[in-house]
Order: sequence, then structure tokens, then C-alpha cells
Amino acid sequence: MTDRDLERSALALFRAALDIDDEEARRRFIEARCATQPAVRARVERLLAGVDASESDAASHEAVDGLLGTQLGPFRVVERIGKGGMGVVYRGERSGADFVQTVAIKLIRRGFDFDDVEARFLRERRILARLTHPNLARLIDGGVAPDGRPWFALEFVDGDAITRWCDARRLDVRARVRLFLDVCAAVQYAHGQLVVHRDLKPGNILVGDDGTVRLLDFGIARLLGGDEDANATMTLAGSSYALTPEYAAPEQFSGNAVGVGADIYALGVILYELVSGVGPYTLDRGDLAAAERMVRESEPQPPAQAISRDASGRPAPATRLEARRTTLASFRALVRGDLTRILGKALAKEPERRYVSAEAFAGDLARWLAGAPVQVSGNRLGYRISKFVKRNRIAVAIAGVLGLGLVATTVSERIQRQNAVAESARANAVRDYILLMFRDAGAQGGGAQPTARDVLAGGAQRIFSRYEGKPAEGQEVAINLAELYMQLGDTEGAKALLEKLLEWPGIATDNPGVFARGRYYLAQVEYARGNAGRARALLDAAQAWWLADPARHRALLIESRTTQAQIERAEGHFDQAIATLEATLAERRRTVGEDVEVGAALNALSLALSEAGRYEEALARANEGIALYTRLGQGKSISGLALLNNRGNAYVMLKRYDDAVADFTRVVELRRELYGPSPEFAAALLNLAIARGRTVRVDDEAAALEVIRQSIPLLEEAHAVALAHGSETGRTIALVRPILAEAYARVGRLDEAQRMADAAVRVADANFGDSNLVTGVAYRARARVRVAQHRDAEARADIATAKAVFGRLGKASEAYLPSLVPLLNELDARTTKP
Amino acid sequence: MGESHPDSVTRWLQRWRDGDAQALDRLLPLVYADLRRIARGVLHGSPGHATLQTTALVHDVLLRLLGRAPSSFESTTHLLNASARMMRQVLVDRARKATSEKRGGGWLRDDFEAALELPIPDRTDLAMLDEALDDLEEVNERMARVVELRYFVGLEVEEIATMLGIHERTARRDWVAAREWLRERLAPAA
Repeated sequence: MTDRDLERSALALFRAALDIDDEEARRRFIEARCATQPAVRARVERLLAGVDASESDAASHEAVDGLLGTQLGPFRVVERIGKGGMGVVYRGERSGADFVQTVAIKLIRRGFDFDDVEARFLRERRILARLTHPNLARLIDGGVAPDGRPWFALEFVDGDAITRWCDARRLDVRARVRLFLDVCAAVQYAHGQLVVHRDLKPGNILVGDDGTVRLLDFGIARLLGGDEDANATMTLAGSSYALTPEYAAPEQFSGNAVGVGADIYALGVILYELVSGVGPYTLDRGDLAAAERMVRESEPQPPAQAISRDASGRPAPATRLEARRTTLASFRALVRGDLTRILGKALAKEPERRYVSAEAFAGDLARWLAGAPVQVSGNRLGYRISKFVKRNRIAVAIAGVLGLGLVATTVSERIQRQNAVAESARANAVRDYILLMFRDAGAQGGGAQPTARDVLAGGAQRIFSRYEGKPAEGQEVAINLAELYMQLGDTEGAKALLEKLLEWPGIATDNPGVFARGRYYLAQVEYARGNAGRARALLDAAQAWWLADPARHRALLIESRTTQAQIERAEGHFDQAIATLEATLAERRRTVGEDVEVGAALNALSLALSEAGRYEEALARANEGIALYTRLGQGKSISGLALLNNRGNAYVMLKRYDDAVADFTRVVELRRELYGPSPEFAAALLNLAIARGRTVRVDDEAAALEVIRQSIPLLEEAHAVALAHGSETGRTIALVRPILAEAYARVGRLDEAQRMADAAVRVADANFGDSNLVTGVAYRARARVRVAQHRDAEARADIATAKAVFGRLGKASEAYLPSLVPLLNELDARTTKP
Repeated sequence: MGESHPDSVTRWLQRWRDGDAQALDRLLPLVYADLRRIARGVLHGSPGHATLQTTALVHDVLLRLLGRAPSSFESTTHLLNASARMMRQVLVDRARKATSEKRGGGWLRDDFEAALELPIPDRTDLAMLDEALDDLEEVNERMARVVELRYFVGLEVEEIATMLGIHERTARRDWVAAREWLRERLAPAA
């Protein structure tokens, strides 16, 4: 037998043996077949030994996947839940003190990691970091797996495709349309952030058991604005990108630049399908050219007829009617007329004939639901568009560039084109650098698994050497990376990078624009870290440069006013902060109109008014902001919840404790459910604990103790979360510690109380100074602990310090000075005792 | 970059038609990236993962390379199978040529092969792999198909199962067995 023959025999036998699961039977099989061929037998046995039994067994697919059970960044990979066009999706979990966070982890598939896929993932990460909306799956973290594949942790969404969800619950047509309004709201929000989806389809729109809609997969979305815009627009022309023919707008088939209008079209198809159970056209999946012709040339079938159409892979007409709890006659009566016209407008062939926004689409649907006349057709179009333009100048200007708007195109088009050319080179440098960082981090391998932050940190180290001869590009990369850090909420990482950027030789004279932006960002970082003094100096310097040419830097100037007011508040200049914010608010309303930024300004103003002791005004501003956010469909957004939290604060100061508890409870619940642990979540827990404490009458000692006991777990969770997700010098942790210390002291857990109080005083002394509420509260807490420990003299010293600090707070001191009286009374009672 | 622009595919295709043999080296990686995208789209029941032009161009290039008329392919599956064969042939020819040019010395990944992003391990001797695949085909043709589709088109095992119309478990065992056998067979003699 030649070597080659031996190999062939061994191979045949080896393969046959693999089909025998039972080990004993397998052994007997080989024995019988190789009785006279010991060499073949040895070869087969060696081959079998080389194969991990589980690996060949598709039934235990999970065992094949080496990632299961391993750790990716902070997450443990629990199970494989699916795979998409470019990646595998796992369910991951992160366990903390009192929570388990479940995420969906996306990984680029092995063997398919072309550059463009990797770039797509990075883009998705970047875009998602910018989007926070309760109806959009949120980006949580990202990193590089040990084998070099980038991964991204997204909010885990448990739900069904919207079409299936509606069928399973037998929702009637009106209920479907109502649910669809939530989809429109989420799409409108994303469009407001200058992000288009471009691949909307039922599979990307999941609905949970509780009826909450979530949009997934912004993987192929491209920014309409921002620094990647130019890049996106450039590669778009003539490039190939994913599309799903059933939901793709006519212009997508030709690979033309695609904008808001394509999403409106896809929304139209989805609604059509929700209503009638089939798509607007019968497309042959095997023949893309025919599909394109169909979508480009034929008119959608009216839904009243589509309901009777048989389509492969879809339920029969009778089943579809039943799933809508209707009969053929009443279905036809319902959908004929306005609803058909609305769908027709969303599905128009030319993007400019479609609804100008998801909001406008939703508006007509809401009117249809209410039985009001819809505005689909007729002469009011011009009026409505001009009104829309007034409200959304920026978005429309950009939509105009893409040929969607009917107005204001000429000017914005020119500006847009200039920006595109100027920024494309820099945007490319940034993107390439980030890609490079991920690749380097992956190549280093080793035991440690870099997270996005590690990768960014490694990249920060190298920027300076890599771009030594090209400072302008390097500085652009550095400042964009710093922004990325800030989006990820990593103030420490941003600080390190910005400090280095500002020290770049020659930056102040050669690149003053970036220098000013760098100072402004660092001011925000320093404010967040509790260094108001340095923040002020940095911000002043940045604004001074912008003010040399205010017309050119108007946007940054307005934006920076919010930071300015925060710093003024931290410095104790409440009236100045209020004046700053009122001026900003007025300017924003005058130049842009009622948008989310106005809501943010109202929030800041409400806070400042609270701190100045003007609680009724604070409450009014908070209510104004909440109404605005609700109107914009963003009541549950991060900013919406921030406002709710701050209204709770105003209620506390107005002694409306039950109202406060209601607001804080809602914030805690929604944050826990929608956004996971964060410093803001910790703050909400803290506030809830405080407000609950206030609902008890001061003289009802037993009830007070009970509330304190109930609050300790809340406070401990707040402490753990704040410590894990923020800086130790942040305001939340500075407030949690003293309050937790006091709570421990009240229930007799004195050692823990002392540790907390000591830490609180240490951080307050080092970071907040002697005119800050935080410092006063820290000393009061240590006084409380020392009273309980019978260290009377030290307790009196702390009380004196706290009194001095509170005394410098102006009006707010009225709320805090009295809290020292019971402590003094207790000490006095002791000393007068014989 | 692995990005494939129909424009550049068209350009290289034109140059190749005009007799520029080197154009093929630029063309194939571009086409293969798209081929795999189309393959995945087809296999996952959503042919939309590539644009119409891309599909048309890839078909165009492949048909020319294979020297056949479009009608001789009854299905995308058929086309993919043929492409895998063709890719194997192209790669092995190149490897043989490189080896003879360099006089001895194992074949190493060059830019061209790297650009294809195929899951072939580095330092594989493609000429030996070719021979081994012939042997494999004699013993079990299906196993050879699985390896070709895996190595030369870059499909995942599940996708190969769908394509060949076999159970995933079977495809996985074919793959595992073939890979193990090839690994030993191609290992440098100790």
C-alpha cells in the first residue's frame, strides 16, 4: 500500500467513524475495518484524536463556539442569539453589586473581516454613542476580542418583529397605526440627530411584551452631518451598500445619495405591510433587476385590493383578515380613501413628493386616527413645509442637499459642498486612525482584553509620535478622540488626551480653532470633575478667542453658555448663571426655535433657579421643559428624564415630598429599564432616598428610622454605581457619601458610617472648597457620626465648619442651617447632664 | 481596502478586456468580496445584500473568467460552485508560477491572495493543497466541495450546508474531518 493509498483509506474510514456517536461502537467499527492494516488504524486514531468530539457535532453548536462563557470587556458571553449579514450576535451579561445588565454583543465574523465591514462597525459604534432615545437600541461599550475581532455591546432588546408582534396579538388596523406612530417618533428623533437608517424593515423594528418599540441596527446608517458627513457622501456615490429590495426606495437601487426620504419610503412599506399583510409590490426575490423595475415603475396596489392578494411566504388573505379582527368589507371601507392616500404619499417614487419628515407622516396618521381631515394633498403643502423649515432649519437644509426639500436648497447646498471638500481629508484621517488603533490592539493579543477605552488610551499615547510631522491632522484626531471619550462618559480619559493636546508645541498660534475647542472641552471635563476654578479659566480663554469673530463662532458660543452657567453656579454666582441661561434661551428660541436644546437650557435654568432659592420659578421652568420634551416625543429620553429629576428637586425644596417621590421613582424605574447604570442613575437613586426621608414627620422617630433602613440599600446601590461609572470626585458621589454616612450613623452602623464620612470630607476638602454645599453636607455628616461616637469636641468642630460653609450659600443656607440645630441640641443635652 | 466599487470593477474589467493581464489581479479580490456578499445574501434568503449593479458585474466577470454563457448556470448555487473551482485553479496556478520563479522556497501569501481575504492558513502550500483536494475528491466528493467553498469562497459551514442542501451536522463533520486530514497531510515532514 502506498502512502497515498493509506491516506485515502484512512480518510474514508475517519469520516465514516465521525458519524458514529457512541465511542465503543466507533472503536469496534475501526477495529473491524482495520484488522489487517495497523498503519491505517494508527492514522485514523491519530486523526480522531486531533478532532475535538464536540467540534464535529453540530447538535451541540454552542460547544463549538469558544467565545461562550468567556469575558469580553466587562461582559460575560452567555449565548449566541443570532447572526446578521456581517456579524454574529451574542447575549452578554455584566454583573454588579445589585444589578445584572444584559446586552447584545455584535462581533465581526471570522473570515469576513474586510475593512469595510470593520469600518461599518466602527461607524455604527460612533453613531449610536450619539443617539439616546428610549425607542432606539443604545450603544453600551465596545472593544476588541482576543482574536482581534472588534465587538460592540448594544442594549439587549427582547422582542418580536413589529409585523409578527401585531399578528400574534391580532391588533386591528387602527391599533397597528397607533403603534406605528412610536416608530415614526424614533425615526424622527434619529433624523433630528442627522442620522438616517437606510435599512428600515420589520426585522429591525422589535416590539417587547410591554409594547415598547425598539429600532435596531444602525450599522449602515451614515451621518448626514458632523465630521463623517463628507466622507460618507463621498463614498456613497457609486459604492455598494446593503439594501433590502422590499423596503428600498427607488433611488436606493441606483446607488444614489440617500437621505431622509429613503427612510420615509421604508416606513411607508412597513405601514403598508402592517395594514395589509403583504408588501406594496410582488417582488421576485431571485430577480433583482425585475425587482428594481417594479419598484421604480409600477404603482403600489391599493391596500383594499392587496388584502386579497396571495403572496408566497405570507398568511392567506382570510388569515390576514382574521389577524386584524375584521372582514373583507369593513377592511376595505376602513383603508380606502385617506389611509390609502397617506400610504401613496409615503411611497411616492420621487423623494421630494414624499412626506418631508417622519413627523409629518405621523401627523397625518394621527389625524386619520382622530377622524380629522388629513393634509396629504392640496395646496397646504407649501405652508406646511415653510412651517417645518422654521422649526428644523438645520435638518431641512441638509435634507435639501439630498434633493428632498423643496426650499432653501441653493444656499445650503453650496455650504454643504464646501464643508464636504474641506473636511473629507480630516475625517478620513480620523477614521483611519481609529481603525488603526483597533487593529493594533487586536494584534497585541495576550491575556488582557482591551475595551474601547483601553484602545482609545493606547491610541492617545501614539497620536503624538505618529503625527509628529503633521500637527494639524494629529490635533484633529486628538480632539475627535477626546469627543469620543466624552461621549463614552470617560472624563478621565478625555482629560489626559486634552491636556496633551493643549501642550502640543505651537498649537496656540498654528491651530487656534482647535486650541479653543480643546480648552472648551477641557473646561467641561474639569467642571464634571469638580474643578470649577480651572474650568472657568479654560472657558474664559476659549470664549475670548471665539468673541474675536462672534458671527463665525456663534454656534459654539451659544453652546458654551450652558457650560458657563454651570460653572457660575458652582462658583456660587447663581444670579449670574440665571442671567446667562435666560439670555441663551432667548437667543436659541430666536435663532432656531423650540428644539431639544431649548429643553436643555430650560433644565439648566430650572436647576440654577432652584439653587438660588427661587423654587416656584424653578418648578415652572421644569414644567415648561417637560411639556416641550413630551411634545417632541422625548419624554423618556436622557434629557427628558434629567428634567423630571430636576422637577423632583424643585418639589423637594417646595416641601411637596409626595410629588417629588413620584418623579424620582419614575426616573429610577425608567433609567434602570432603559439606560442601565450610570452616574445619573446613581443620582436619581440618591434623590429618591432623600425625598422618601422627607415624607416622614421630623418628630416621628420610629417612622424616620424605618424610612432610613429602607433607604440604605438605595444609597448603597447609588454609591456602587457612582463609583463604578463616574469619577470619585464627581458631585453625585460627593453627595451620596455623607448621606449614606448619616444613614449608617442613625441605624448604629458606626464603623461604616465613619469610613463614609471620612471619605466624604476628604473629597470635599480637596475638590469642592469652603463655599460649596457639598462641603457643608460632608462636615455635617461627619459631625453626625462623631456625635454618635461620643467624640463631642470633634463633633462641635465639624458643626462649626458646616455652619460656616452653609452660611456662604446665600438663600439656600436657609434650608441647610437649621439641619445643624438638632446635632447641637444633642451635644448640649449631654454636657448639661451631671 | 476590501471595499468594492462597481466603478473600479468596471474599470479593471475594461482593462482586462483590453489585454492588461495584471488587471485580473486587481479585479479578482474586488469581485470576490462581492461574490461572498451575494452568496451570503442568497443563503440567508435576502438577496438584497448587494446592489443590482454589483450582482450584475460579478456575474459578468465570473462568466467571462469561466468562459461560459450565462444560460449554462442554472442557479446561483451552481455559479458559486463553479467560482470555487475557478478560484482554486487561479490561486494554484499563481502559486506554482511563483514557486518556479523563486526556485524552491515555499509559497507565501502575497498581496493578491491577502486581498482576497480567504480563510486559507498562512504558509499553506497551495500546490500540495490542490493535490490533496484531488485525493479528497476521489474519496468523498462532497468533502472536497465543502473545503473548496470554505477556503476559496469563504463561506461559513452553515452556509455551505444550505448551499449543498445537506444537514449542517454533516457539513460540519465533513469540514472538521477534511481539515484535520489536510492539516496532517500538509504539515511539513517532521
